[in-house]
Amino acid sequence: MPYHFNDTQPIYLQIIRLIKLNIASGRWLPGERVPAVRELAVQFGVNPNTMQRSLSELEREGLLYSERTSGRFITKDANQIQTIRDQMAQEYILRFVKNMLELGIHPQQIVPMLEEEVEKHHEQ
Amino acid sequence: MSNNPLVTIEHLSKNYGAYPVLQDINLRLEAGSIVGLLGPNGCGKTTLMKIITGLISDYHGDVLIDGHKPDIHTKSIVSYLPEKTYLRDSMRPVDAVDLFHDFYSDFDRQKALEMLGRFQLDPRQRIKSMSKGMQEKVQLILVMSRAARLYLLDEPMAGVDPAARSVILDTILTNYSENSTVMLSTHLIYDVERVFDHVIMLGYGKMIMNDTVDNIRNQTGKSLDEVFREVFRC
Amino acid sequence: MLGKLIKHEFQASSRLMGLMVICALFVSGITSLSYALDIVWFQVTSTFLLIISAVAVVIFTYVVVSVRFFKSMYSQEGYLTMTLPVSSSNLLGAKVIVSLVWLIVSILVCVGMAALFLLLLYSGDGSQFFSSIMVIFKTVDVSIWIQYIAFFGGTLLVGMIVFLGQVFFAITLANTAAFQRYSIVSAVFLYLGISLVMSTVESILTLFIPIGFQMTTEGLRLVGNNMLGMLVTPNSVTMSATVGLGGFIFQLVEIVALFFGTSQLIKHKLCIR
Repeated sequence: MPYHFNDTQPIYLQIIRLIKLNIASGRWLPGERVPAVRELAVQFGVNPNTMQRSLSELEREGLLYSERTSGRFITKDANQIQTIRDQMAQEYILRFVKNMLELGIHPQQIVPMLEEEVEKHHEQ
Repeated sequence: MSNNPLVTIEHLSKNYGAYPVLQDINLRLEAGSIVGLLGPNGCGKTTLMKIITGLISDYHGDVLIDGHKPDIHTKSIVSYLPEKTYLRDSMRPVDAVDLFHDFYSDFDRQKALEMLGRFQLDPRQRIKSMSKGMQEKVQLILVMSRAARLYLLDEPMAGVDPAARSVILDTILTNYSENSTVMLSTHLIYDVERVFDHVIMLGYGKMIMNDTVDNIRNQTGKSLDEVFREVFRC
Repeated sequence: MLGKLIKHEFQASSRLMGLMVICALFVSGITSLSYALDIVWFQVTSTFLLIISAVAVVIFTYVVVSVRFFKSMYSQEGYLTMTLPVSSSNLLGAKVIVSLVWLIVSILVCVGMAALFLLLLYSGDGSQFFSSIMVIFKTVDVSIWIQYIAFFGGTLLVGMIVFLGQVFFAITLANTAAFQRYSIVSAVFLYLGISLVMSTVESILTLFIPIGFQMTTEGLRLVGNNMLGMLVTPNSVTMSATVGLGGFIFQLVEIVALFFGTSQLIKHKLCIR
């Protein structure tokens, strides 16, 4: 199974995060149809009830919407998707900065080291 | 909680001689869930399943499946996968498929044959010449090809390689229906935890835990695997 | 459901039984050959083998039928048998019917081999043997022969069903909580115990109950005579041989009781390991 879950957080929350990542990164396209609960459950390797819970939560947040006859779809709202992308990016940055400071890297060193790494990846 | 749980067990006790294998077990199972039955070996998991399937009729307490005590009706809606193989050595998968087709009206012969093909099992090979892993797959296919209301799988992951384990879990998830419930017993929790929505933990005959996986994670901040290790620390 | 159980029960046992019948035919064939070739040492050894095989076939079948019951109900295979959606009476019924068929087959094979033995004894030429049998047949009316064959056949059949009832009951009892740890040994001893007690009761009832069949040359006659009386009376003119029916009637009751008991044990005391 390609999706990995950690030990501590409830699975349904982790699923929500993984789906947000899919949407934010564009792996799941805006307006695209979401597979049925059971199919998704098999894809993620999780209990269908748990998957249902995650999907319902995402619907509540507005990232997914359902049309009674045709199924579930990913939002077309580009702003919303951008907000999610920004939120997740912010989380990554926060974690990165915390880790670097914990490591004892001088605050002034952080940005240059970061820029160097970005350059390297940009060239690839 | 609905008014018609699929399984209701009240004050169930069972002794083997002087040894109390199950003590005052109370539980309800609703339809549409995948339940983990956890506990160390020899703690009563198999005995509990055998009582529900009707293999043990000598016990105290009340056991109701779909409102019936274990009888012909319950046997026709319960599909049981025991730990060891129960097929005759000289049988071949086709013979077993014929047998299931004859006795179980909810058995889907096409599905079984198709699954045998998908698992690359020769339907005409005798059981006794198959490896343990192959035999278990055959039995799993037979059990899951029934449209039962209650599936009881006793340690389906034990002694099976990791690739086969994920195939088994996939099969269980694909078969999921809101009308039926799967109870899976295991003492290898790690990669199975995500498949359960509900978990029952038995320890030395007593019920230690009976809750949803999410609740347990929320309350303890730990995975089932860790909780299990803590509870049964030697 | 009963039909399906019978079909599967036959499928499960036919391999072994078929093999047995083939072996019996093989031995019969060899013995016949030995007489055709007229080699004395060959004749002696194969005849000996024939007699032993004839007896072995019956014993083998009785044992196989019992072991199959134990295995299919209370061993690993029991996990399948006991979770089938069928009643315990259907389950038992199928086993009795199929077991009975095999027992009858084994008796027929044994009788066939015995007939072959007698046939061969008359220097491979059956005509003399058959003519002497024909003489006996002609002196007595066919309908009377039928009466006797029906009576003795029926007695044999009931005897087989009693055996099955006792064995199935003993094996089932041996697999309840009390005896389970030593189920195989318990099964043997329980069977021996039950059959001893039942045989004793049957014998006593056969001798003392005043209902019997008098065996005359005009056929069987139901009489109100006590078999013991017949055996003891020095003057057998007024009473010809009488077979007491008390034991037989008891056996019919015994069969019902044993199967009912077995069925109840399965319903309430089942504890498969």
